[in-house]
Amino acid sequence: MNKGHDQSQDHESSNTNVLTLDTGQNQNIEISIIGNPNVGKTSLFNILTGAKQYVANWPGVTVEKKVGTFKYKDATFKLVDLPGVYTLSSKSEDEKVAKDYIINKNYEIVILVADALNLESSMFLLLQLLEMNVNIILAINAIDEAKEKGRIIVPSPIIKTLNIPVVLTSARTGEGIDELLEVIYKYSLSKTKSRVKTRIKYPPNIDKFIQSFMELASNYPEIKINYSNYLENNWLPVYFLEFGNEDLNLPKSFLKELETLFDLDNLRAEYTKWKLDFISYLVSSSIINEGIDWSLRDILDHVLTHKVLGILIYIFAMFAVFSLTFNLAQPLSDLLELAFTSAGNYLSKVIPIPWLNSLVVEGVIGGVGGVLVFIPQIFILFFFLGFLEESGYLPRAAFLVDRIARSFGLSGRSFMSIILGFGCNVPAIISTKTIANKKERLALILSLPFASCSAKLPVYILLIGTFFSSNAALVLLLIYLSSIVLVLVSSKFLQRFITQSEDIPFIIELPRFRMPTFKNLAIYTWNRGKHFLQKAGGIILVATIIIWALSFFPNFGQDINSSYAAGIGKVFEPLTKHLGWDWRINTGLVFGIAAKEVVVSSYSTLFNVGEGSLSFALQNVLTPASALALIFFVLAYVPCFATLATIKSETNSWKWPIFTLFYTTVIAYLIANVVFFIGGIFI
Amino acid sequence: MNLEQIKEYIKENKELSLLDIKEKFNLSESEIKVLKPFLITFGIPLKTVNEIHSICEECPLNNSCKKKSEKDLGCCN
Repeated sequence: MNKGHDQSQDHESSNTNVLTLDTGQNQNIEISIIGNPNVGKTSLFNILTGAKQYVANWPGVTVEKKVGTFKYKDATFKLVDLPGVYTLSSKSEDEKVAKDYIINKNYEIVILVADALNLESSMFLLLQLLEMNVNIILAINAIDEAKEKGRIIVPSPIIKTLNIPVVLTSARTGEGIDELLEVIYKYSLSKTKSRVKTRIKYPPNIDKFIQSFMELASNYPEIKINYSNYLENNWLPVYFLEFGNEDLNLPKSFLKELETLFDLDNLRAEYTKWKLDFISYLVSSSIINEGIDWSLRDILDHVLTHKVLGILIYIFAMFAVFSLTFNLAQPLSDLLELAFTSAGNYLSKVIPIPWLNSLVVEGVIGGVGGVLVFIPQIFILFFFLGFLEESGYLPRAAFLVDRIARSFGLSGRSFMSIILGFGCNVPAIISTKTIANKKERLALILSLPFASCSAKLPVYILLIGTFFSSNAALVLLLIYLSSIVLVLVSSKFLQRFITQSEDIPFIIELPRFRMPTFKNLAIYTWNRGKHFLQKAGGIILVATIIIWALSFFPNFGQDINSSYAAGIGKVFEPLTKHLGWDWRINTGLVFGIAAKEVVVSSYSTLFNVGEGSLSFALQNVLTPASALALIFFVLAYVPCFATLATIKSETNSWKWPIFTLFYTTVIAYLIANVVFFIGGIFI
Repeated sequence: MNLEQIKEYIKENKELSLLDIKEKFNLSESEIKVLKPFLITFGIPLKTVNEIHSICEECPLNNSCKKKSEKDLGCCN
């Protein structure tokens, strides 16, 4: 018999006198599920409701509302999944939605899901729900993980002190789910009057305040009308004490009267202290940690987020990832290249029609194949980055560089967006939503296109492999670090013109360290890498065919130097000739605006070679300095269409994507010139 | 654990991690977990730096995007 079963029995035995079933009201009983973020609330919701669920939005906000139904015995339940919150206030949309739902009381019971590994963080919400006089079932989830980590949850102090049912569950193993269903069934069908209500016993001063507040409020009809739900069960004075008048807007005259009777600041401090002491008592009596040495995690955290050591570790970690990427992927990449070359050779012999032969061999095989040979590098890079992310290291690195970001006058949250930008600029820009300072957010949105997204990888790999193969990892590391610096400097630069506002203090929470499973890493790698494959069959293929057509016509492949493609590239030659870039390099860059991978496929087509000989062809056109300038130009120039569309959407204006278009191009051109100049001296 | 002192320290330093607070006030792991909701009630938001995954519904390209993963990890993941 498992622990969850034990505890539900424990509860039943302690409450048998109150669980009188009322089987006459057993249809569509509404219950809700609430909890802190990431406690497995949605997993429990999914287990209970299965496929019978739908998703909508809460009225007036963009917060998702998930509703499901399930049957147990002769009862049908409607289960509402509330947003993940730590408290019920109005500090965020999620909290407001949850608070409004709870306070309106159109439900029978609330299941509070708590994480057994973080039970302490759920106690505040638990107490708040009790203060609102809500019928609660406490489901302590992830009990299996807690056991593995030597953490024992003893629910009896909670049951006895708060007089609520407690069930120990595991959404992962299904432990305790039957018991939870049984408790839900009995508790929701028991006659409301027969349920024992927990009365919170406050310190005398708080009790006195609540009583006086309620008496005073009864003289104000507008309070009675506007806060009828809060007044029920005396929650209005408690809420006022906890969160102040900011959300409530109580009448000024009422507040004045209250202030003459009480020292509100002292009372608030007393209430908070009482709450902290009460929660601390519950925690100390219901959680036992079996001699686990937590210090190793603290030492790791301390070292990895150390101002100097942490940065060195981060640089070394990234260098190791890039070295492994190049070294492990090269043999596989060579094999793929051989396969594409063989396929091209074979098809060139069997396709008799010249234009079709050229399209298939030089366009499709040469262009798309030229990009696909980098699949091993991309998948291996994602695998190792996935390891850093899933293990909890990357967020620490983000926090570390956060500190540097602050010295650039930026919000600490910015580096997380930059890391996201290494994958794709679109989610990176969306992630800036969490930055409260709107002007600062705008500066970051306009600078994030400088974050080196994964679409640029094939260009880097091609040029680094061709010109800097002996220091490949080092050059790639230099590009990534330059990318970070570029975003930071650009944000700082733009803020000089558009931002001036006050910082809002906040706390950064880092995730737990964990050893990623191979399965999770495989899913992570596949989810990221597959988009590269989808692109190869989509936009890269289409762009490659267009480029082939532009290079084939109007003279049917006789002279590529007088083709349409050459015409496009030659327009920019006066600006790029001194950098060593001819029209072919320019045309590739123009088509790279659609998707950065297209730069590589364009070169394969325009240089009229497969990837193998593309390296040789590029060595004939570019010097190492001009290749390095090209790499940095690609790093910084015009973001793809999707990124521009996201900037438009997030800023709600066409002005900013148009600005980005010119801003990034000008900056990229300046950087390319500087790199070419410096590279000419040292390389 | 002195909540008032912690509140003042955070307001002076603007951006801190829970680890900073833990070290500064010599708090246990359990106390830090208890502290989190109190900080929110003080108007000090918690920002969890572990969400590399974006949310598809928030993306302006949501309707036309084919990148959504089966596991609902968000686009581009």
